[in-house]
Amino acid sequence: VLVMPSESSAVSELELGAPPRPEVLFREQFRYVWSTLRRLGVEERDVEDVTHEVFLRVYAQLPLYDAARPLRAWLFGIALGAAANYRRLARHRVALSAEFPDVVDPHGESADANLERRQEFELVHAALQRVPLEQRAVLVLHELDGCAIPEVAVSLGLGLNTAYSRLRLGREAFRDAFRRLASQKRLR
Amino acid sequence: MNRDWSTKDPLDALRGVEEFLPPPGAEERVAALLATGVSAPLRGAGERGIPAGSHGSTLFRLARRFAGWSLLPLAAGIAIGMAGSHVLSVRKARQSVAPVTSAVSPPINEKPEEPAALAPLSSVARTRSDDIPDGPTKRSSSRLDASEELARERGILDRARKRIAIAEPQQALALLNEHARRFPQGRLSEEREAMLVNVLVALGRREEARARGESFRRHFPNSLVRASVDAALATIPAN
Repeated sequence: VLVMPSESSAVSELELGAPPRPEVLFREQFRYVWSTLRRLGVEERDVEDVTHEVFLRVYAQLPLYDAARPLRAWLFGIALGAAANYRRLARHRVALSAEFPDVVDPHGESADANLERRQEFELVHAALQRVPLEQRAVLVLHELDGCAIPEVAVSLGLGLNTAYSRLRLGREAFRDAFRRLASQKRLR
Repeated sequence: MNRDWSTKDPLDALRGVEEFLPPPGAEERVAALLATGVSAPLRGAGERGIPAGSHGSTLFRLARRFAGWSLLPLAAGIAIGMAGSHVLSVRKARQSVAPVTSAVSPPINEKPEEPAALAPLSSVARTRSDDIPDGPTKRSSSRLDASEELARERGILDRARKRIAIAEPQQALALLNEHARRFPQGRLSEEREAMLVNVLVALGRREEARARGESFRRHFPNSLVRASVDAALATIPAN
């Protein structure tokens, strides 16, 4: 007997100053948490477990959530903690391939736009995985989630200067990795 | 085709990149796991012979074990509500719920028709947690105190769920009793009672489970977790 939440979304509830209801939050943010964990380096085979762990933490901390803060920045902080724990386990440290994954096109339609998009997707994420986690967190939260750096700093518990510094270093690292991988791809 | 990516600004590529999409069924599986409340130690997918992939995950296996008599068959139906019922659920119980006792202590239902002093329905108002003016105890007047209290409640119930998931219902029962003792008017009483019915079924204490379940149905007729109680009771063979 699932009582579906009312029409109100997590965002509208936040606007009312109330913590979002867990089931609303789960429904609306599951995909975000999943994608964030992947971007933070959680392997595909483990992301389901880690997503589950994140939501357990989210539910536990929900009463303490400050509705004045952006929801996703708060979720990101929890996801980052889970991803960092995950990475601390040696068995999850997977040596990164020297090359980003090859894209197999079963139909030989190499000019297909979808194929190109997928290649770019894989290239971006392969490069992202080469950015140190502390820099990547700032990079993802700012560049992909659109979070202003002062909020990034609050969410990640960083000083403002540190957040800016990590953004700069993260951008440099990402650019370098992207270009290196792109070059490898072109030469193959 | 090997496109010349070097001409593209990497940051533009980053900003325009799509999200990772979860595979079909992933959301439902995670919701089901949340319903069980199992907190999983992270394990590599290849460990212990567990194949990689969602269906082979450790948690999924634990949940399946638990599901034999509990929640997973109802996965999508109750999952989200079970996990979040603390926010949606009871204001507080005005009367204590008698702890369910182990074999040493008297059974919970010396009078099966009145298995426990569950809070009267009239006193149970569904509301948001932040609407609660005072916590489970009079000393908890601030929201922070109430939150801490709630976190402690949830911690006990989470531990109980872990025990359930690893097929240790006796230990789960002890934890549920601990919750009932420490938080007789707790905000998670409804959740505790639902788990209790499941545990009693698992322990083979069928009459107690039936009585407790009926009491639960009377007092929480619209409960989000009623489905788990119904499912547990449905596994008891008719006399």
